[in-house]
Amino acid sequence: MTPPSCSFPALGTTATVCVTDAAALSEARAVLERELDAIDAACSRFRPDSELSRLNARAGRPVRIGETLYESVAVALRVAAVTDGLVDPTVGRSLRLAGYDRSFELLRPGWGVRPQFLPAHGWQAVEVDPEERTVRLPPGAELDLGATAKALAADRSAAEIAGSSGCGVLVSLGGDVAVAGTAPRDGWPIRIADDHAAPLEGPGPVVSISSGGLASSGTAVRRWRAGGVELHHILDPRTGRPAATPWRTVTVAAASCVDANAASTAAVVLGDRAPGWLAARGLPARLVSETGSVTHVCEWPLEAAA
Amino acid sequence: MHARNAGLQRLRSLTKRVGIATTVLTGIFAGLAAASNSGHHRRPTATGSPPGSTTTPARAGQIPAPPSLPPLSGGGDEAGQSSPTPPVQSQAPPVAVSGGS
Repeated sequence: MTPPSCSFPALGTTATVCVTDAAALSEARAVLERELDAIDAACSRFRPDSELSRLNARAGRPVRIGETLYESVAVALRVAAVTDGLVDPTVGRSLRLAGYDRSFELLRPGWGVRPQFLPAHGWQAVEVDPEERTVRLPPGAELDLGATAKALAADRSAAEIAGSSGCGVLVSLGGDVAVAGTAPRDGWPIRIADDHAAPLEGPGPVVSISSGGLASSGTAVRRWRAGGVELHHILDPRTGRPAATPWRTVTVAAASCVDANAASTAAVVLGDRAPGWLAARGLPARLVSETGSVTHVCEWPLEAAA
Repeated sequence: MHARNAGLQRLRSLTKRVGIATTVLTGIFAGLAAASNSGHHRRPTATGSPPGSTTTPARAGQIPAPPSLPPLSGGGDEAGQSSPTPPVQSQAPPVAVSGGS
Protein backbone atom coordinates (compact mmCIF):
# COMPACT_ATOMS: atom_id res chain seq x y z
CA MET A 1 0.00 0.00 0.00
CA THR A 2 1.31 3.44 -0.92
CA PRO A 3 1.94 5.59 2.17
CA PRO A 4 -0.22 8.71 2.46
CA SER A 5 1.53 11.80 1.14
CA CYS A 6 1.05 15.35 -0.04
CA SER A 7 3.09 17.69 -2.24
CA PHE A 8 3.15 21.45 -2.67
CA PRO A 9 5.43 24.07 -4.23
CA ALA A 10 8.10 25.56 -1.94
CA LEU A 11 11.56 27.14 -2.19
CA GLY A 12 11.28 27.26 -5.96
CA THR A 13 10.81 23.52 -6.13
CA THR A 14 8.43 20.79 -4.89
CA ALA A 15 8.05 19.67 -1.29
CA THR A 16 6.69 16.21 -0.52
CA VAL A 17 5.93 14.58 2.81
CA CYS A 18 4.95 10.91 3.25
CA VAL A 19 4.02 9.28 6.55
CA THR A 20 3.29 5.74 7.65
CA ASP A 21 0.26 6.88 9.66
CA ALA A 22 -2.46 8.68 7.70
CA ALA A 23 -3.66 10.44 10.83
CA ALA A 24 -0.32 12.25 11.07
CA LEU A 25 -0.30 13.68 7.55
CA SER A 26 -2.03 16.97 8.26
CA GLU A 27 0.25 17.86 11.17
CA ALA A 28 3.27 16.64 9.20
CA ARG A 29 2.46 19.07 6.40
CA ALA A 30 2.03 21.89 8.92
CA VAL A 31 5.44 21.14 10.46
CA LEU A 32 7.08 21.06 7.04
CA GLU A 33 5.48 24.34 5.98
CA ARG A 34 6.68 26.06 9.17
CA GLU A 35 10.19 24.75 8.64
CA LEU A 36 10.25 25.89 5.02
CA ASP A 37 9.00 29.35 5.96
CA ALA A 38 11.75 29.62 8.57
CA ILE A 39 14.48 28.46 6.21
CA ASP A 40 13.29 30.78 3.45
CA ALA A 41 13.15 33.82 5.74
CA ALA A 42 16.60 33.04 7.11
CA CYS A 43 18.56 31.65 4.18
CA SER A 44 17.18 32.98 0.89
CA ARG A 45 19.76 34.80 -1.23
CA PHE A 46 16.98 36.25 -3.38
CA ARG A 47 14.81 37.84 -0.70
CA PRO A 48 16.04 41.30 0.22
CA ASP A 49 14.38 40.94 3.63
CA SER A 50 16.04 37.64 4.50
CA GLU A 51 18.60 37.37 7.27
CA LEU A 52 21.15 36.07 4.78
CA SER A 53 20.73 39.16 2.58
CA ARG A 54 21.32 41.31 5.67
CA LEU A 55 24.44 39.32 6.53
CA ASN A 56 25.79 39.53 2.97
CA ALA A 57 25.18 43.29 2.90
CA ARG A 58 27.27 43.73 6.04
CA ALA A 59 30.33 41.75 5.01
CA GLY A 60 33.36 42.88 6.94
CA ARG A 61 31.48 43.35 10.21
CA PRO A 62 30.29 40.85 12.79
CA VAL A 63 26.53 40.38 12.51
CA ARG A 64 24.36 38.76 15.16
CA ILE A 65 21.96 36.32 13.52
CA GLY A 66 19.03 34.09 14.47
CA GLU A 67 19.24 30.42 15.35
CA THR A 68 18.04 29.08 12.00
CA LEU A 69 20.58 31.02 9.94
CA TYR A 70 23.28 30.29 12.48
CA GLU A 71 22.68 26.54 12.23
CA SER A 72 22.56 26.79 8.44
CA VAL A 73 25.90 28.61 8.33
CA ALA A 74 27.36 26.09 10.76
CA VAL A 75 26.22 23.19 8.59
CA ALA A 76 27.52 24.89 5.42
CA LEU A 77 30.95 25.43 6.99
CA ARG A 78 31.08 21.83 8.18
CA VAL A 79 30.20 20.65 4.68
CA ALA A 80 32.93 22.89 3.24
CA ALA A 81 35.42 21.39 5.68
CA VAL A 82 34.57 17.75 5.03
CA THR A 83 34.53 18.27 1.26
CA ASP A 84 37.84 20.13 1.28
CA GLY A 85 36.09 23.22 -0.03
CA LEU A 86 34.46 21.51 -3.02
CA VAL A 87 31.12 22.73 -1.63
CA ASP A 88 31.83 26.23 -0.34
CA PRO A 89 29.15 28.65 0.91
CA THR A 90 31.28 31.68 -0.02
CA VAL A 91 30.44 30.97 -3.65
CA GLY A 92 27.56 33.48 -3.38
CA ARG A 93 29.31 36.32 -5.17
CA SER A 94 30.54 33.94 -7.87
CA LEU A 95 26.96 32.81 -8.53
CA ARG A 96 25.71 36.39 -8.68
CA LEU A 97 28.44 37.47 -11.08
CA ALA A 98 27.79 34.40 -13.23
CA GLY A 99 24.26 35.70 -13.71
CA TYR A 100 22.37 33.63 -11.10
CA ASP A 101 21.31 36.73 -9.23
CA ARG A 102 17.61 36.08 -8.77
CA SER A 103 15.19 33.24 -8.23
CA PHE A 104 15.72 30.77 -11.05
CA GLU A 105 12.18 31.19 -12.38
CA LEU A 106 13.00 34.83 -13.08
CA LEU A 107 16.10 34.14 -15.15
CA ARG A 108 15.18 34.75 -18.74
CA PRO A 109 16.57 32.84 -21.72
CA GLY A 110 19.31 34.91 -23.30
CA TRP A 111 19.73 36.99 -20.12
CA GLY A 112 21.77 40.00 -21.24
CA VAL A 113 24.22 40.12 -18.34
CA ARG A 114 27.74 39.15 -19.39
CA PRO A 115 28.88 36.60 -16.82
CA GLN A 116 32.05 37.09 -14.84
CA PHE A 117 33.87 34.25 -13.17
CA LEU A 118 35.56 34.83 -9.85
CA PRO A 119 36.67 32.15 -7.38
CA ALA A 120 34.89 31.91 -4.04
CA HIS A 121 36.41 33.88 -1.18
CA GLY A 122 37.08 30.66 0.72
CA TRP A 123 35.09 29.32 3.65
CA GLN A 124 38.10 29.49 6.01
CA ALA A 125 37.83 33.28 6.09
CA VAL A 126 34.36 33.24 7.64
CA GLU A 127 34.54 34.07 11.36
CA VAL A 128 31.93 32.78 13.76
CA ASP A 129 31.46 33.49 17.43
CA PRO A 130 29.39 30.73 19.05
CA GLU A 131 28.90 32.69 22.27
CA GLU A 132 27.63 35.86 20.66
CA ARG A 133 26.05 33.96 17.73
CA THR A 134 27.69 36.32 15.27
CA VAL A 135 29.13 35.72 11.84
CA ARG A 136 31.65 37.96 10.11
CA LEU A 137 32.18 37.54 6.39
CA PRO A 138 35.37 38.83 4.81
CA PRO A 139 34.80 42.14 3.00
CA GLY A 140 33.20 41.54 -0.40
CA ALA A 141 32.20 37.96 0.37
CA GLU A 142 28.63 36.70 -0.07
CA LEU A 143 27.24 33.42 1.20
CA ASP A 144 25.00 31.10 -0.78
CA LEU A 145 23.41 28.31 1.24
CA GLY A 146 21.65 26.67 -1.70
CA ALA A 147 23.84 23.58 -1.50
CA THR A 148 22.92 22.79 2.10
CA ALA A 149 19.89 24.71 3.42
CA LYS A 150 17.29 22.70 1.55
CA ALA A 151 18.81 19.41 2.68
CA LEU A 152 19.03 20.73 6.23
CA ALA A 153 15.36 21.65 6.11
CA ALA A 154 14.54 18.11 4.98
CA ASP A 155 16.56 16.59 7.82
CA ARG A 156 15.14 18.92 10.45
CA SER A 157 11.52 18.59 9.44
CA ALA A 158 11.70 14.78 9.05
CA ALA A 159 13.19 14.48 12.54
CA GLU A 160 10.59 16.80 14.04
CA ILE A 161 7.67 15.06 12.37
CA ALA A 162 8.90 11.62 13.43
CA GLY A 163 9.48 12.86 16.96
CA SER A 164 6.10 14.44 17.37
CA SER A 165 3.98 11.85 15.56
CA GLY A 166 5.87 8.69 16.39
CA CYS A 167 5.44 7.39 12.85
CA GLY A 168 7.80 6.93 9.93
CA VAL A 169 8.26 9.91 7.62
CA LEU A 170 9.89 10.83 4.34
CA VAL A 171 10.48 14.45 3.36
CA SER A 172 11.60 15.34 -0.14
CA LEU A 173 12.56 18.88 -1.07
CA GLY A 174 13.32 19.03 -4.75
CA GLY A 175 14.64 15.48 -4.68
CA ASP A 176 16.72 15.94 -1.51
CA VAL A 177 15.24 13.18 0.61
CA ALA A 178 15.39 12.67 4.38
CA VAL A 179 13.69 9.85 6.25
CA ALA A 180 13.14 9.42 9.99
CA GLY A 181 11.23 7.18 12.36
CA THR A 182 10.34 3.60 11.58
CA ALA A 183 10.26 3.12 7.82
CA PRO A 184 7.78 0.89 5.99
CA ARG A 185 8.82 -2.78 6.00
CA ASP A 186 10.52 -2.56 2.60
CA GLY A 187 11.82 0.96 3.07
CA TRP A 188 10.87 4.14 1.23
CA PRO A 189 10.92 3.57 -2.56
CA ILE A 190 12.48 6.45 -4.49
CA ARG A 191 12.91 6.80 -8.22
CA ILE A 192 16.24 8.16 -9.50
CA ALA A 193 16.08 10.57 -12.45
CA ASP A 194 17.98 13.47 -13.97
CA ASP A 195 15.26 15.89 -12.89
CA HIS A 196 13.43 15.72 -9.56
CA ALA A 197 10.33 17.02 -11.36
CA ALA A 198 10.11 13.84 -13.45
CA PRO A 199 6.89 11.86 -12.93
CA LEU A 200 6.83 9.15 -10.30
CA GLU A 201 6.00 6.55 -12.91
CA GLY A 202 8.69 7.71 -15.37
CA PRO A 203 11.88 5.92 -16.38
CA GLY A 204 14.75 5.35 -14.00
CA PRO A 205 15.67 2.83 -11.32
CA VAL A 206 13.78 2.64 -8.02
CA VAL A 207 15.71 2.11 -4.80
CA SER A 208 14.53 2.12 -1.23
CA ILE A 209 16.15 3.50 1.90
CA SER A 210 15.18 3.02 5.53
CA SER A 211 17.24 5.67 7.27
CA GLY A 212 19.36 8.74 6.64
CA GLY A 213 19.08 10.59 3.37
CA LEU A 214 19.44 10.40 -0.36
CA ALA A 215 20.17 13.30 -2.70
CA SER A 216 20.99 13.97 -6.32
CA SER A 217 22.94 16.77 -7.95
CA GLY A 218 23.23 17.33 -11.64
CA THR A 219 23.91 19.64 -14.49
CA ALA A 220 20.80 18.78 -16.51
CA VAL A 221 18.63 21.25 -14.60
CA ARG A 222 18.97 24.91 -13.61
CA ARG A 223 20.80 25.84 -16.76
CA TRP A 224 20.69 29.32 -18.24
CA ARG A 225 22.33 31.45 -20.87
CA ALA A 226 24.08 34.68 -19.99
CA GLY A 227 26.06 36.79 -22.42
CA GLY A 228 25.77 34.03 -25.00
CA VAL A 229 27.27 31.44 -22.66
CA GLU A 230 25.48 28.26 -21.50
CA LEU A 231 25.80 27.89 -17.73
CA HIS A 232 24.65 25.59 -14.93
CA HIS A 233 24.26 26.20 -11.23
CA ILE A 234 26.97 23.99 -9.76
CA LEU A 235 30.02 26.22 -9.70
CA ASP A 236 33.53 25.07 -8.96
CA PRO A 237 34.46 27.31 -6.01
CA ARG A 238 38.11 27.21 -7.09
CA THR A 239 37.36 28.93 -10.41
CA GLY A 240 33.89 30.44 -10.04
CA ARG A 241 32.94 28.73 -13.31
CA PRO A 242 30.30 26.05 -13.81
CA ALA A 243 31.98 22.78 -12.89
CA ALA A 244 33.48 21.04 -15.89
CA THR A 245 32.36 17.53 -15.13
CA PRO A 246 31.74 14.25 -16.93
CA TRP A 247 28.67 13.62 -14.73
CA ARG A 248 25.15 14.54 -15.68
CA THR A 249 23.60 13.32 -12.41
CA VAL A 250 25.13 11.98 -9.21
CA THR A 251 22.97 10.36 -6.51
CA VAL A 252 24.34 9.53 -3.06
CA ALA A 253 22.92 7.80 0.03
CA ALA A 254 24.31 8.90 3.38
CA ALA A 255 23.62 9.23 7.08
CA SER A 256 21.65 12.42 6.50
CA CYS A 257 20.23 14.38 3.61
CA VAL A 258 22.81 17.11 4.24
CA ASP A 259 25.67 14.65 3.88
CA ALA A 260 24.11 13.01 0.83
CA ASN A 261 23.63 16.37 -0.87
CA ALA A 262 27.10 17.57 0.07
CA ALA A 263 28.65 14.43 -1.36
CA SER A 264 26.64 14.46 -4.58
CA THR A 265 27.50 18.12 -5.21
CA ALA A 266 31.16 17.55 -4.37
CA ALA A 267 31.22 14.59 -6.76
CA VAL A 268 29.94 16.74 -9.63
CA VAL A 269 32.64 19.34 -8.92
CA LEU A 270 35.35 16.71 -8.49
CA GLY A 271 34.72 15.11 -11.90
CA ASP A 272 36.70 12.00 -12.84
CA ARG A 273 38.00 11.48 -9.32
CA ALA A 274 34.50 11.35 -7.83
CA PRO A 275 34.02 7.54 -7.71
CA GLY A 276 37.24 7.07 -5.74
CA TRP A 277 36.41 9.99 -3.46
CA LEU A 278 32.96 8.57 -2.70
CA ALA A 279 34.28 5.03 -2.20
CA ALA A 280 36.93 6.25 0.24
CA ARG A 281 34.13 7.67 2.36
CA GLY A 282 31.93 4.59 2.16
CA LEU A 283 29.15 6.42 0.39
CA PRO A 284 26.90 4.35 -1.89
CA ALA A 285 26.41 6.33 -5.08
CA ARG A 286 25.17 6.21 -8.64
CA LEU A 287 26.88 8.42 -11.20
CA VAL A 288 25.46 8.97 -14.68
CA SER A 289 27.83 10.38 -17.27
CA GLU A 290 26.94 12.84 -20.00
CA THR A 291 26.88 9.91 -22.40
CA GLY A 292 24.45 7.97 -20.19
CA SER A 293 26.84 5.35 -18.84
CA VAL A 294 26.24 4.49 -15.19
CA THR A 295 28.86 3.95 -12.50
CA HIS A 296 27.95 2.39 -9.14
CA VAL A 297 29.99 3.02 -6.00
CA CYS A 298 30.09 0.95 -2.80
CA GLU A 299 26.93 -1.07 -2.39
CA TRP A 300 24.61 0.81 -4.68
CA PRO A 301 22.28 -1.88 -6.09
CA LEU A 302 22.78 -3.05 -9.62
CA GLU A 303 19.99 -2.19 -12.01
CA ALA A 304 17.93 -4.58 -14.01
CA ALA A 305 18.56 -4.30 -17.75
CA ALA A 306 15.98 -2.09 -19.45
CA MET B 1 75.75 93.61 16.29
CA HIS B 2 72.66 94.38 18.27
CA ALA B 3 70.47 93.21 15.43
CA ARG B 4 72.51 89.98 15.14
CA ASN B 5 72.09 89.22 18.85
CA ALA B 6 68.36 89.89 18.63
CA GLY B 7 68.08 87.52 15.65
CA LEU B 8 69.93 84.76 17.50
CA GLN B 9 67.67 85.27 20.51
CA ARG B 10 64.55 84.88 18.30
CA LEU B 11 66.02 81.74 16.72
CA ARG B 12 66.70 80.17 20.14
CA SER B 13 63.19 81.04 21.26
CA LEU B 14 61.68 79.55 18.09
CA THR B 15 63.73 76.36 18.48
CA LYS B 16 62.54 76.01 22.07
CA ARG B 17 58.85 76.46 21.07
CA VAL B 18 59.20 73.93 18.24
CA GLY B 19 60.71 71.43 20.70
CA ILE B 20 57.85 71.92 23.15
CA ALA B 21 55.26 71.61 20.38
CA THR B 22 56.90 68.42 19.11
CA THR B 23 56.79 66.88 22.59
CA VAL B 24 53.14 67.82 23.05
CA LEU B 25 52.11 66.51 19.63
CA THR B 26 53.98 63.24 20.20
CA GLY B 27 52.03 62.76 23.39
CA ILE B 28 48.72 63.52 21.69
CA PHE B 29 49.32 61.11 18.82
CA ALA B 30 50.53 58.40 21.18
CA GLY B 31 47.30 58.79 23.16
CA LEU B 32 45.18 58.64 20.02
CA ALA B 33 46.97 55.53 18.81
CA ALA B 34 46.45 53.81 22.13
CA ALA B 35 42.76 54.71 22.12
CA SER B 36 42.16 53.42 18.60
CA ASN B 37 43.97 50.13 19.37
CA SER B 38 41.73 49.39 22.29
CA GLY B 39 38.71 49.66 19.96
CA HIS B 40 39.94 46.66 17.95
CA HIS B 41 40.14 44.28 20.84
CA ARG B 42 38.27 41.18 19.71
CA ARG B 43 36.81 38.21 21.41
CA PRO B 44 38.28 34.92 20.37
CA THR B 45 36.45 33.65 17.31
CA ALA B 46 36.47 30.51 15.29
CA THR B 47 37.62 31.12 11.75
CA GLY B 48 36.00 28.98 9.13
CA SER B 49 35.05 26.32 11.61
CA PRO B 50 31.52 25.27 12.42
CA PRO B 51 29.96 27.21 15.27
CA GLY B 52 29.67 25.22 18.41
CA SER B 53 32.65 23.08 17.62
CA THR B 54 35.18 25.42 19.21
CA THR B 55 35.84 24.25 22.72
CA THR B 56 39.18 25.83 23.56
CA PRO B 57 39.17 29.62 23.62
CA ALA B 58 42.03 31.11 21.67
CA ARG B 59 44.05 34.06 22.83
CA ALA B 60 43.15 37.35 21.17
CA GLY B 61 44.84 37.63 17.80
CA GLN B 62 45.50 33.91 17.57
CA ILE B 63 43.58 32.00 14.92
CA PRO B 64 42.33 28.76 16.44
CA ALA B 65 43.20 25.57 14.67
CA PRO B 66 40.20 24.03 12.91
CA PRO B 67 38.75 21.20 14.95
CA SER B 68 38.67 17.70 13.59
CA LEU B 69 35.40 17.11 11.80
CA PRO B 70 33.49 13.92 11.26
CA PRO B 71 33.78 12.67 7.70
CA LEU B 72 30.79 12.33 5.46
CA SER B 73 29.39 8.94 6.28
CA GLY B 74 27.16 6.33 4.75
CA GLY B 75 23.63 5.61 5.91
CA GLY B 76 22.79 5.52 9.59
CA ASP B 77 20.29 6.85 12.04
CA GLU B 78 22.01 10.16 12.62
CA ALA B 79 24.39 12.40 10.74
CA GLY B 80 27.92 11.48 11.63
CA GLN B 81 27.18 7.85 12.42
CA SER B 82 28.85 5.32 10.28
CA SER B 83 26.64 2.28 10.00
CA PRO B 84 26.15 1.84 6.28
CA THR B 85 22.67 0.90 5.16
CA PRO B 86 22.97 1.18 1.41
CA PRO B 87 19.84 1.51 -0.69
CA VAL B 88 18.32 -1.63 -2.10
CA GLN B 89 16.57 -2.19 -5.37
CA SER B 90 12.79 -1.87 -5.06
CA GLN B 91 9.84 -2.99 -7.12
CA ALA B 92 7.37 -0.88 -5.15
CA PRO B 93 5.74 2.20 -6.65
CA PRO B 94 7.98 5.16 -5.77
CA VAL B 95 6.78 7.85 -3.36
CA ALA B 96 9.37 10.43 -4.43
CA VAL B 97 11.80 11.23 -7.22
CA SER B 98 15.39 12.18 -6.53
CA GLY B 99 17.05 14.12 -9.29
CA GLY B 100 18.75 17.39 -10.01
CA SER B 101 16.93 20.43 -8.70
